[in-house]
Amino acid sequence: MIEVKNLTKQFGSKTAVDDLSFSVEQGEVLGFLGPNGAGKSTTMRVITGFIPATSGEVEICGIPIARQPEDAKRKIGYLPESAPLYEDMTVVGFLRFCASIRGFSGAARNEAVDRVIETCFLQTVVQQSIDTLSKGYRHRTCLAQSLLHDPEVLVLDEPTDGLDPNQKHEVRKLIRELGKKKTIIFSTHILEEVEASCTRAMIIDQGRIVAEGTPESLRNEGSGSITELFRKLTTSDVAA
Amino acid sequence: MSVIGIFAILLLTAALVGGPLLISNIRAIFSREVNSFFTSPLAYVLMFIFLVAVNALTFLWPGRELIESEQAALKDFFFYYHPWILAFYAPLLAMRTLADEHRQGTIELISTMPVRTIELVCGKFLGSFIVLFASLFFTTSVWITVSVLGDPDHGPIISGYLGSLFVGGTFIAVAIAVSAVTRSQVICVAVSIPICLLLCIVGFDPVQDFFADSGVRVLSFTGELLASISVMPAFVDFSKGLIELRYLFYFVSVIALCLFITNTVLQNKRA
Repeated sequence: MIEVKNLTKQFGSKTAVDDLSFSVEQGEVLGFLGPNGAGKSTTMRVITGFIPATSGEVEICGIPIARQPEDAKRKIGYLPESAPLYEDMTVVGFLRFCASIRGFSGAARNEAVDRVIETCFLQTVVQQSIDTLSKGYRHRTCLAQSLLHDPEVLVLDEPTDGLDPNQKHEVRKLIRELGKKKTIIFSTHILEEVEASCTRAMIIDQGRIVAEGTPESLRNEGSGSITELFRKLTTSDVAA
Repeated sequence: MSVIGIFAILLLTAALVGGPLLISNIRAIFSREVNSFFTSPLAYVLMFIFLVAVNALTFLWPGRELIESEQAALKDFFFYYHPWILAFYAPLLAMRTLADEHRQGTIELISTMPVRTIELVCGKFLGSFIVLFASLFFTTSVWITVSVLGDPDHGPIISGYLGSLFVGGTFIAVAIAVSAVTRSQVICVAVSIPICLLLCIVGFDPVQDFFADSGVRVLSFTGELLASISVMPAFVDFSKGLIELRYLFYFVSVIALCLFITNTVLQNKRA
C-alpha cells in the first residue's frame, strides 16, 4: 500500500534521506524510529506529497505520488508533526472545511464529521475556537481531519507528542484498532509505543535504515531492549 | 501588451494541464478565506478606514468637494481616487492569504490534500476579491447620495465600479504573487504597495504628458509602453462609461500572469 523505492531527498548539499527503500502492506502498522534530524519527518513529507523527492519513487496503493498527486493524496490521511490547524475556526468548522476538500457535501459531510468527532472524543469542544484548545485537543482535532475520508493509508508524524498518559493510551489504542484494516506508518521517539502499537518497526539514522523488524526481533537484537539497540545503532548529537 | 496578455493566458492554461479545476475545492477555500476575514477585528478596521478614506476624499478634498461641485457625476470626485486608495487597500486585504498558511503551518495540511496548487491560488484570490467587492458595495452610499440630490447618468457609474473591481482585483493578484515569495506580511505589503502605486503612476496623466511632450522619440515610445502596462488608462475609460475589450483583456492578463507566478513559486519553493 505504501511502496518507497530508492528515495533520496537533498536540501542543497545536505542529504536528509539517503536511498531509502521499504514497503508497508495493508494491516501493517510500521513504527518509524530515529533520533532528531534522522529524516523521519522528511520521509513522511515526501510520502504524503508535501515535498517532492530528489530521486526515487513513492507509490500509494500503486499510484505514483509524483505523477498523480491528487489521486494518491485521496488515499492518505496525514497528521503532520506540528498538528497545524486554522486558528480562527471552530473545531466543527475546520472539520467541515476539510470534509469539503475531501469531496463530502450535504448529509454525507455531516455524517463524516460526526463520526470523527466521536472517534477522537471531541464532543466537548466541537464549537470551541481552535486557538483556545489545549495541546491534546489540537492533536486530536488534527488527527480527526486525517480520518474523515476513511483513508486506506495513514501517515502520522509523532501522533502522541505532548499528550498526557491517558491521551497517549487512547491514541495508541486507536492506532492498533485502525491498523487492523489500514496501512499505517507513524513516527515516534517513544520506544515503548513501538511495542504497544506496531506490527513492524524501522530505525533510521542520517537518512538510512539501520535496523528493521518486528518489535520482538528488534528487542532480541538489542539484547532484550529496543532502547539499547537504538542507542547502539544511532548517532547521538549530545556529548556523552 | 497584447503579446504579454496572450502569453500570460497561455501560461495559466499550462498550469491547468493537470485537468479541469475542481470548483468545489475553490469554493471551499474561498469560503474559508471570507469567513476567516470577517472573524478578524483587523478586517473591520481596514474596511472602516477604506470607507472613511473614500468618503472623505469624495466629500472633503479641497477644491474637489462633491456637493459644492453641484455635479451629479462621480468620475472626477469619487472614482478619481479609487486606484490610489486601492493600491494601499488591496495589498492589505491580500497580505494574509499565503503568509498565514506558512505561519500556522497549514500549508503542509492543505498541500497534502487532493487540492491542486492552482485551485488553492484561485481560491485565495477569490476570497480577497469577494471582500473587495463587499468593500466597494458599501461605498454605494455615495451613488445613492448623488441619485437623491441630482439625476446622474448611471451607466458610467456602473462601469466605474467595474473598473474599480478590475483594478482592485489586479492589485490583489499582485499582492498574492508577492505573498508567495515572502512569509512576512510586512514585507508583502512593503513590496506590493509600491508596485501597485507604480502601476497607477506610470499611466497617470501628468506623467504621461511628461513623456509625450518631451519631443524625444525614445521617451515618447517609453511613455506609450508604460501606459500599456498601467491600470490608469483602462480605469479612466471605465469611469467615463467606456468598456473596451482591450482593457478587459489587459486586466485578465495581468491577473492571469500573477496567479501563474504564484502557482509556480509555490510549487518550486518546496522542491
